[in-house]
Amino acid sequence: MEIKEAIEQLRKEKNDPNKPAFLIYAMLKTAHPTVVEMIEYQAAKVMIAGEMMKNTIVEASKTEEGRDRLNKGMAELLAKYKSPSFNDMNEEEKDG
Amino acid sequence: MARQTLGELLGKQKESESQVAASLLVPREQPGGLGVPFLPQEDIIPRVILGVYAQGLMTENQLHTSMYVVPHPPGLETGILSTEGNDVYTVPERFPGDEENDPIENFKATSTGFFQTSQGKATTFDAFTKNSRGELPEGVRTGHDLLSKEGVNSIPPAKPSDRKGYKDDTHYGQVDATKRPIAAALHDTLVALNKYTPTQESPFLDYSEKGDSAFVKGLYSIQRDLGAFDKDAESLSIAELRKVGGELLFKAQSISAADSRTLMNNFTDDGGYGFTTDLMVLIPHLTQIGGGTVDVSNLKARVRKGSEILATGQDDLIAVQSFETTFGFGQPSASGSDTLISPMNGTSNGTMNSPVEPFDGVFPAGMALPVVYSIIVVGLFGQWILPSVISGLKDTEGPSVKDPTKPWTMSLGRNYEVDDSFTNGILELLGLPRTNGGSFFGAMMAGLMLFYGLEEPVSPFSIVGPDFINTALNLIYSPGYYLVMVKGILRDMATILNTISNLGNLFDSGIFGAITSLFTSFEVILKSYTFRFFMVMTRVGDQAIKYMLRPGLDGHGGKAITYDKQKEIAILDPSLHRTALSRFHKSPGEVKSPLSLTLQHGAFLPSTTNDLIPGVEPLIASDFGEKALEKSYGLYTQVDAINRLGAEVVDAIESKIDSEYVPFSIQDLRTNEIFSLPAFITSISDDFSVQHATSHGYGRTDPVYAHSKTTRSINLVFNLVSMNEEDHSYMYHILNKLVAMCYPQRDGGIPRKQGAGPGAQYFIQPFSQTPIASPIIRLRLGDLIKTNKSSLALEKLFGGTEILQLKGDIKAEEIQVKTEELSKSYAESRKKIVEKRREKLAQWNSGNPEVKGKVFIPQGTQMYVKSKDEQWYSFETLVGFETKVTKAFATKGPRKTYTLQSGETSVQDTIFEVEIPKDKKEVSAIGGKALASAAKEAESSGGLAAIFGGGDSSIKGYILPSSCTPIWFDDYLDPKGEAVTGVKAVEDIEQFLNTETNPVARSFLQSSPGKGLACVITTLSLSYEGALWGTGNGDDLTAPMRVQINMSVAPIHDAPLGLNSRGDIFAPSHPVGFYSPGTGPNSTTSMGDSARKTKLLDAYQKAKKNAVIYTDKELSDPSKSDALI
Repeated sequence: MEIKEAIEQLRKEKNDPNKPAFLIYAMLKTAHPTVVEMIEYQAAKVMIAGEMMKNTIVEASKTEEGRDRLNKGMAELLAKYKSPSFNDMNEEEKDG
Repeated sequence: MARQTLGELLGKQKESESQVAASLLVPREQPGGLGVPFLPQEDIIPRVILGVYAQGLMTENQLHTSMYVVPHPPGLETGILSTEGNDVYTVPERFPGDEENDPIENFKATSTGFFQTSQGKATTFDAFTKNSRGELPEGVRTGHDLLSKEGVNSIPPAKPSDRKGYKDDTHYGQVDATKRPIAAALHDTLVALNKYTPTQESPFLDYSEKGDSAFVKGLYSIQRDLGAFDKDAESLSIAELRKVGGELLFKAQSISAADSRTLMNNFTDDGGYGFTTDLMVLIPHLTQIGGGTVDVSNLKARVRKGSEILATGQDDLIAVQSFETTFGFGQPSASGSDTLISPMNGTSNGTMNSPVEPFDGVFPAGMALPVVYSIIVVGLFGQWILPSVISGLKDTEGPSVKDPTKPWTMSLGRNYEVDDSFTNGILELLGLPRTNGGSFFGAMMAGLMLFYGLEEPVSPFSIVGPDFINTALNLIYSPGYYLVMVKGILRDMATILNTISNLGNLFDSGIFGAITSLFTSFEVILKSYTFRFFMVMTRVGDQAIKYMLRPGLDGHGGKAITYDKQKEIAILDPSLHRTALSRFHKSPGEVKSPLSLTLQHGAFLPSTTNDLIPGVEPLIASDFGEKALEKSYGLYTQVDAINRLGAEVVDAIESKIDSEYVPFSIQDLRTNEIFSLPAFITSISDDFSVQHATSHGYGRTDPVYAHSKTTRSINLVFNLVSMNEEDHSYMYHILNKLVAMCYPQRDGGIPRKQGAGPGAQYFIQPFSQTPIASPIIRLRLGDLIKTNKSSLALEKLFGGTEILQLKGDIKAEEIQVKTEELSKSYAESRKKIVEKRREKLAQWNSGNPEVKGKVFIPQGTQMYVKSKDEQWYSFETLVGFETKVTKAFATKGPRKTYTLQSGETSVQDTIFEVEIPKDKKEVSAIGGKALASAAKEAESSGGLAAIFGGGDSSIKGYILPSSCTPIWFDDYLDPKGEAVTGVKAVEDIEQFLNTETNPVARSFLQSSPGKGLACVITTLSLSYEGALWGTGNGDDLTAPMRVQINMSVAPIHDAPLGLNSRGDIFAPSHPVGFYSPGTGPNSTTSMGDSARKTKLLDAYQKAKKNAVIYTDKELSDPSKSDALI
């Protein structure tokens, strides 16, 4: 998905109250067009990122080896995630 | 940062430092000599090397460049120095008696030590010199020490007595670079950086000359000479510092340097607000909405001279990160630490709020906007990244609420199914809270709304509207907190997006490279503030939603009535678990607890007493049906007959009690009055005491025991609690009934007559009522304590099926032989049935098409329906139902690709197609909302046939063989004595045991209705300890509102315990599960399989009857629901 497509999709979902786009545009109703565009761009980037992550997983799931790698990666990351050091925030994070 | 030695800097690592230092003084043309020193500026040794070396020395001693503050030595006076270094005043002289305003006292109170002393007093001067720098750690020198000692021609520090006041050029001033090049370089560096060590002559508060203005105009002056203090140096006033700081703040708003300066001048020079200032307030800048960042180089106060002296570009006035960063500026971090960001490449999110906009202003629009932005960003992250990931997986339907009665299907402590799929791995990894089938993102938004101060997190979209003002108002009260959060979110988003954007080219490096990048992205996400923030928000929101809308859901599975629905409930339907809701609205304004005592089912004899009890209503037709009414009404009209409620009344009440979570009832067998109670049981025990007669044979070690009797005693401790006034009164009705169960029933007494004729008065002779009936009760507690009478027990009383099946005239001596033959025949028959079942099951498991035909699909089976466009919808059967297998075929299944290999099938290859009833109620009963939604979708898409395929209008369901163990009722037969000719049919036996014709059977099964265990109360203790008392005036309820009842009973079992002649349990002591009447799956009698079949089919009929027909509004598009797979 290209950024342009993502933005178009966002704009299409503008009036659908079940979509986040509705919320965004409602909040930005009175905002300057530049601000709206800037936020649209950010949103579109997130959409694309999500799409890419999905594609990776779906693609990898198609083969036994891919699935194994996914599971292995997941197990490793899970172990890492649960280690105390992973969750230590450094000074830079703390200062806000 | 490790200091580089001079040798390293000059490429002479092998030489000692002193040799290298000495070599600097030796002209190259005169090796070994001590001749004319070289001039660094003109020589090949760059001056900058010496500068770097000096930096190293400084860094090494960085923490000790300042004067040490040491504890106040005893006896040392404190004072304030004059410009000449003399004491200006002492405490008694300056502020006698006014300690509060005395700066010296304040200094003493707030400081940990002293700062100066009198130069004119030798004793104190010595003390100061000695202590002013404190005890330095071993091996650490101050910058001044370094300056004094460095180089070959080092000059030792002057003795205090030799010092020339506050200006000591000899030791700290500019040195001759031709003689002491290192010291000179160090001097220049220190001067450039303004980081020289203060001495006793360092800046001081010039109170004596400037008076109060000293406090306003500045505590600092710009000292340009190293090691000396110039009292006339230019002052750096607070106003000037404000200018510097303010300018930086404006720059942090992405405002140009020139505009920033103008704005600050407006403030400081013109007294504040002007047109530009107004614009600042009205127009939020890009950084305020998190839309841009500012280069940190714009946010620095700089020393111009610094960059001139040092080629490395060090020019910070204030170290913003740490000394390490300051001195490493412009270069990669020498220490290799990744915790510090190089300011060269750093950007800042700015201050976000405008410096001219006070935190506590009327409406901090500049503050509110970033918050809104953060909601959006977080919403985007949660609503797009994760759903995209999750929707890309095929086994990700939301966690369904599990039946709490099947804890083995749940993960520990969680009400959702155990799942080891990859998707679940992701959910676990990301720590996504399980929302019990609720909307994950709805929960997240609800959490955010709570966080930002919206009180009703009902709809994520209710934020748009007046509530938004509340958010903004909330921000006013705690802006700093939100600001920190928002800044963290924005910074994280930048990092995450940057990392994820690298995924763009991931397929260039192949799928495995892509997987690596994927996990890198995951790691970045997991580490981010943002992620953690909205995970916490989701948990908060989930809890809020559960609390607000779905209380009790975890405990009661899908049967819980949500809070919003509870408002609509006015009557506790018997089919409704009272524990499924926390309250209901009996009438407008009347909210009742479903655990209220008066809402418990019960039936009392119609009598003048019972009719007066609040909460006890007369029995009416709708309670029991016409037949029951007839009997109960008949009883009501009888005055002096034996008052007992009919069996139908008891049955009707007990069927209602059966719907309780744990049925707990007590029935008085003298009247058949029965009442259920909330099972607030705190203790239960069940004891058997066995007594034997013993005889002792000569020489026997142990006596011979002959069973004499066994007594059983059950003890229960439970509470009666009044939830309201009506309960309070009713509780004592129950209490009186319980106590009455400890006393006999009396007869009518002897009738007497007084007078004669129309004025005659009839009465009963007082105290002539004689006890006629001992109290016996039936006690019911779930299936644990209940009667053990059953048709099976009745059969056993009559000798069992074998003897009952004997037909024709059989001689008494042959009866034993015949029954044994029958027993063997039954064993054979049972074996055949078991074999047949196993064969069918094997066929089913292997996907053999031969399995076609009628089959019973049990409750809890995962099934699928399929639309013509190959969309699969899943649902779980809510009740078992009988259907027909129409096909067994290979197909592309919903989760795996099923490929039929030629000529062979395997478990994975086959899926069974079965029929699903078309009736809406049946659809709803079998598959609930999920199946009903699919059916509705089918209808709206041109009929069921159009969607579900199959060429007719029936719905086809699909079952994976491994998903259930079905039952074949056709083979679910009771064993028969097939090998023995001339046996009676089961029907004949049933006829023999019919209660209409068999008086023993009637007596056994019907004379004493009730499901409880017959027993007598042996002890009854009431405890009112700790209970609140009613204190109403005149309501006659001045009594405890709670009572704890300790009751012991001795059972009178309907059927005998122990073993029968065949070694079977005669009748169970605990009729639970297998021993529950009519449910024994392996039973060999008519109460076995047939009864089970009946029970299963009855359950289906009951579910069908109670099934909800969903309105179109309630049915969502199944393709958008969790049912879609």
